[in-house]
Order: sequence, then structure tokens, then C-alpha cells
Amino acid sequence: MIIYHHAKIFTVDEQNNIFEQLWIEDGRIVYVGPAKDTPPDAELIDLQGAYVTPGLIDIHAHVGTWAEVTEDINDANEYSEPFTPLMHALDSVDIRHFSFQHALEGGVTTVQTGPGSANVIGGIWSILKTAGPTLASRVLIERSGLKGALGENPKNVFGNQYKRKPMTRMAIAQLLRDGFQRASRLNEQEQTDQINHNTELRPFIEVLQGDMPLRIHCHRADDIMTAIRIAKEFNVELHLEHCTEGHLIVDAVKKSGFHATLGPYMLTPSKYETRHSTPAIAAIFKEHNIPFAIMTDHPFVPIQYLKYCATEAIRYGLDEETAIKSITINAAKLVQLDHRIGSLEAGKDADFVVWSHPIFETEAKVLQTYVNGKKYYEAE
Amino acid sequence: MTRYINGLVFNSETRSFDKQSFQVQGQYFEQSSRTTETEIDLDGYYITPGFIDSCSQIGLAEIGIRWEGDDSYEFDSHLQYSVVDGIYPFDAAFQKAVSHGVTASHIVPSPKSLIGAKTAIIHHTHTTVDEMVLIKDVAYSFSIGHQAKSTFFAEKKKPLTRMGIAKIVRETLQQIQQQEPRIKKIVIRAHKAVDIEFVGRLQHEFGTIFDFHIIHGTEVPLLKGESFNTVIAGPTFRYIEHNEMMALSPKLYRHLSNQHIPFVFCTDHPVSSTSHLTLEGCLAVREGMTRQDVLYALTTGAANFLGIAHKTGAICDGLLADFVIWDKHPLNLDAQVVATYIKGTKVYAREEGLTE
Repeated sequence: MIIYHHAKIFTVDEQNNIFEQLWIEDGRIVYVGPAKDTPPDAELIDLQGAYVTPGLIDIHAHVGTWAEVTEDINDANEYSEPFTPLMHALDSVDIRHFSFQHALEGGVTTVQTGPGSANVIGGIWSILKTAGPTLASRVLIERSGLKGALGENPKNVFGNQYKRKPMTRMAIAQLLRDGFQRASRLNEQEQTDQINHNTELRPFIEVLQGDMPLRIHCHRADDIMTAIRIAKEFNVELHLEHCTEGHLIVDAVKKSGFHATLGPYMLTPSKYETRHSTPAIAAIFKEHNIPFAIMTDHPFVPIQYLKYCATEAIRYGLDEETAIKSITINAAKLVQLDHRIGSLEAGKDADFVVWSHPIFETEAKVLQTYVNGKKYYEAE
Repeated sequence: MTRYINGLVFNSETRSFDKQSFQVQGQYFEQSSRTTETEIDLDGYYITPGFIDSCSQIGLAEIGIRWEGDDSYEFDSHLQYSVVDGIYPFDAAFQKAVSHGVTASHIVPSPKSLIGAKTAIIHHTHTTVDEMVLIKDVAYSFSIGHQAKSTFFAEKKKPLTRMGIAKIVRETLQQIQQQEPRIKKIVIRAHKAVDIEFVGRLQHEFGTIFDFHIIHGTEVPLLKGESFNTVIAGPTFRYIEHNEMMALSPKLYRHLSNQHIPFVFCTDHPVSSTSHLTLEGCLAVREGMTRQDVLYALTTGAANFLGIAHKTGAICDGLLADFVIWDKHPLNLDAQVVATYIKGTKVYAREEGLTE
């Protein structure tokens, strides 16, 4: 038993309390609450008045898959085809890549990572802890969604650069429908066979059966609506990735019932479809009660700056409580992991960050980052 | 004559916020006994000089569009190239800049050009570039190391070594001396220690003619005992694009500050966004710099370095009235700009802001 005390511990759960003690055993939280008598055999760690939050969560970041320093070893986009449903994040994640270290430096303990947005169907995403001895030990969800992309990226890569299909949004929508059409024509036995043989229809069947959501990269308002339209046609669960012009069609997004991961609005709009990008979208979604998380889209905004993506939303009108939740518990809820991560409550994984000041203060530095109760980062 | 009273005004000499009033007459700050026509109460607000971005491609590389609005990089090089001929005053980024308290930028062309162009300093408002220019032909820009090498390779399919780059830079400096003798400032984009050392040698060889300034300076902390002119540091809030940037971190600001190396901030917009200039300052504060020193570097320090301190950069009589009203300390991460003024004219106001 290790007991962290003499700290301001922000639970970021429903009550959003600030407590003094955090008890950890076997990588789990046993108790978080007001100071009380400690067992004689417990190890006490004095945090010297520091501030503690849950480990931060980024559910849209290409950590470990996007080599960054050189395109030669970019393993996030399989450019050879626009339709690559068999690609799987776990086959390209390099756990020794420096982006995992940067994540820990920024207090990020969980990421959803995987294929990028060059392809109409990019492949399967996974959710991982940012520390742990092996890839297998880090996996929280092996198949957390089928990633697809609409709009400029596939148009640019295939139509514009490779001079091949898809050149238009029409063909992009057709390619996206194609997998679902073929998968939904199969009977139950055929579907089971496809899953067992891990064919290219497998992810579409899994999405149709509700085992994982469809995750669509969409910036422009019409692309957001195309994603919603196709999801409704096949009655599948959709998660909107980026949703950049969502504030322009906020009622339609609300009506769809789907949720979004917002960002990376910290970037200068580099292309036409992102020209209306604004950090104000978070406050607008909050006002309309649309559940959302905030992303870095690492490497585009480096993963260690996830906190600053949340503070920019505050600058543009979001309340502090929703801001911290959008990079912790609300992000966990959107990927059905809130029973394990996202807040500091008894029974949950001991993923937490020790800060020098309250998280959203300018002076706040990450002093220590813990994953499953183990300290993986300490500031110099 | 408009009089602004009761605000917490940044004093560039003491580097502190003092409760004081100031007056604006036309385009200038002016302390005179003339009748005040309007009085504006700024009780509870912070007022700073307009922030100055010491390296930016704003207007030169338009946001929200690709090649059509990108005039930051030319295929060949020519000493007559000037950024003034490439700036688009209706770039949406200008509105972004003023809404975040950034009123002027030093415009430097893309890092892709080994030999860039003549730089200029512009205000962030007006309908023509000629009205925006505070000073043109400020400096010549160069870019050495990975970016210059890879651009050269993409064009020529031949490698260019650091030796080859050094030869081109030296020859160009001699040409500048002959053809553009008025220009004394040379700004050089460099990340790696080896490239920063090369700039040190240039300073030694050409120091009687030119002053050399590093832009970025990512690996400055690796160097021992080098002396520097003002470094245009950063930006640190950006994508690590190539190997030379592996050491990129806001710790750079702590190092420069501890070693007493003079430096100013930049975003290199659109690399980081013009709207994140204060964020660079906030990261420097996180790494241990004082808020006062950061604010000074963003305003008067930048104006001194860029040679425009006689025009702007402080709330001081006789200077252009470039100032920003904030709802809280500007280096709070959630601080919002209430209003921004350039040359005495309001160029941005938050909807529920101060009314006049």
C-alpha cells in the first residue's frame, strides 16, 4: 500500500471533489478522500502541497504510429490503396517511439492511436496506456473503432496526387458504403466466417454488430452530414473525428445523437476545409449538450500540449470543469473506459499526474506522471 | 483626444503594471493639456503595448488555402526579392492576430529558402500593404541545415552539403555588401548546434559589416561559451518535423534567460499560429521566466531588437498608439483580449467589450 498525502487531489468524478489522500495498491486506487489514519505497513509519500489530477486522455492522437521526424517511416497511412480495412494500429505502434515519452511529460496516460486520414477506410484503431513494458501490457482496447476519412485528404492523396479514384466526395461516399453494403448482405453464418477468417469485411461486420464504432474524419459541414447519413443508413454507431465545422450545423449534429472529438483547432488552418476552425466550438457544443472530448491529433499538435488544447477552449468560453473533463473522464466515457480510467475513484487504475500548480495555471508544470500506480516520469 | 483612466498599464521601464491613465490623440499616445473629448474607464483591466511577433509569415502564406495563397518561397534566389511584394492584407490570419493582441510582425520568408528575401515589419491592419509597412528592408533572411538541404535535393536531385551551403552564404553576403549596403541585419534560421556555430564564424568574419541573428535556435542549449546577438527563439509549440528539431522544448527559454542571452519570441506563423504568441510566453513562464520579463520581450524588447522602438512597442508619449486591453493578466492561459488598437484605431473588440 502506498499513500500519497499532503496534496490537493482533484477527483474529476461526478462530485469533482478536492481531497488530501490517495491510496494505491497493485496499480489500483483503493481510497481517495479526506485524510484518515493510515495503516502501519503503508508507505507514505509526501507530495508537499502539489496538485494531483487523473492522467490525461487523448482519444485522437497518432502516438507511436506517426514517426514524425521523417515521412520515410510514417506507419500511420497505408497510401497504397484508398480502402484498407485490415490495417491495425497494433501492427504499426512502436512503443519505444519518443512520442510516448512526450505524452508522459505532458501528463497523458492513455491514447487512442492508429491509421491516419489519407484513406477513405484507413483501418482499426486501438487504445493504449502510454507506459508499460510491452505493447500487449499497454492495450486497453485492441479494436476501438474503424477509421475512415471524408473530404480533402483522400481527394488530395488519390485524386490530386495519384490521379486515381476517389477524385470526388461522391466516390468517397461510395467507397465508404461499399464495405457496409457487402457486409450487410451476408447471413449470420457467413458473417461469422468472415470474422473468423479476418477478411476485409470483418471490421464492417463488427461495426454493424455494434462491437466497435465507425470513426469518421470530417471537417467540412457537408462531410459531417455525409458521415451521419451513411451511419444512419446502416444503423451503426458513429463517432465524429474533428467535426471542425460542427458549430455551423450544431443543431444537425445534436439531432444525430452522435458524439465528437474536437480539434486540432490549435493549428493554423492549412487547407480550405479547416478554414472555419475555432476553439469556440467546444463551448458551443457544451451549450448544446453534445458530448465531446478534445484532441491533439498528435503529431500535429504535439501530445505533450494536450492540456493547452483544453485551456484554449477555456479562453474561448468553455468552463474549467468541462475543459478538464474533456481530456479525462468525458474522453473515457466516449470510449467506454470510464469504469477504469478518467477520474480518481476507488477501484480505478492508478493513472495520475502531480502538478506544481493547479492544472490550468500558466505556471503549472508536470512534476510526476504515474501509470498503473508506477511512476514513469519525473521532472528534472 | 481620448483619455483612458484607471487601467493597470504595463510600464516598460519598471516592467510592472501600474494604475495610471494615458491619452491618445489621433494615431499617437500624447500627454497634453488639450481638452479631453472622451474618457474611458478601464478599471479592472490590464493594458499592454501591442505584442510584436519577431518572425512570422503572416500575409505571405495565407491561411485556409494551400498553394494559391502561399508566396513564402521562390524557386531561385535574388537579392531584390522582398516580402512586401507577397503580403496579402486580407489574409484571415490578421484578424486572428489582433484578436489575440498581436499588432505587428516581422515578416520572414519560408525556411525552405537557403537565401530568402528582404524582410519587413508590418502592422496587422489596413487595406494596402504599403499602409501596413512600419519599416521595409529590415534584414536579409537565410535558412541553413536540413530545410535548405532538402529543398535543394528536391529540385536538383543532388546533395548539398553544409560546406556547399557555407560557400553560398558567404558569396551572398559579399553581394549584399556591394548591392544593398544599407542592410546590416542578417537573420538565419538554424536549429542544430553545428549550424549555430557556423553563424558564430560568420559573425567573426563579417562582424564589422553585419549583425547576425539566429532564428529558432533549438540546440543553443548544447553550446558552451558562444556569444550571441539577439536570438529569435522558437516557436516551441509546433510539430517536430525533422531530426534537427528533436531537442525542441520550451526549456530553451529558460536556458536563454539563465545564460543572459538576449532573445525575443516568435510564432513563425503559420508554423505555429499568430494567435499563439502569448502561448509561447506562457510556456516560458512555466519554465521559470518572470511574467515581467516575458511581457517586456513581447513588446519593448521586440521593438528594440527590430529597430522600431522609436515608433511603437511601449505605452509612451510620441509613439504610435498600438495597445491591447485584456480582461486579466495577459499571460494567464485563459486571458481574453477585450479590445486591440493600432495607431489609435480600434481594430478588434470583443462583443461585450467596452463601449465608447
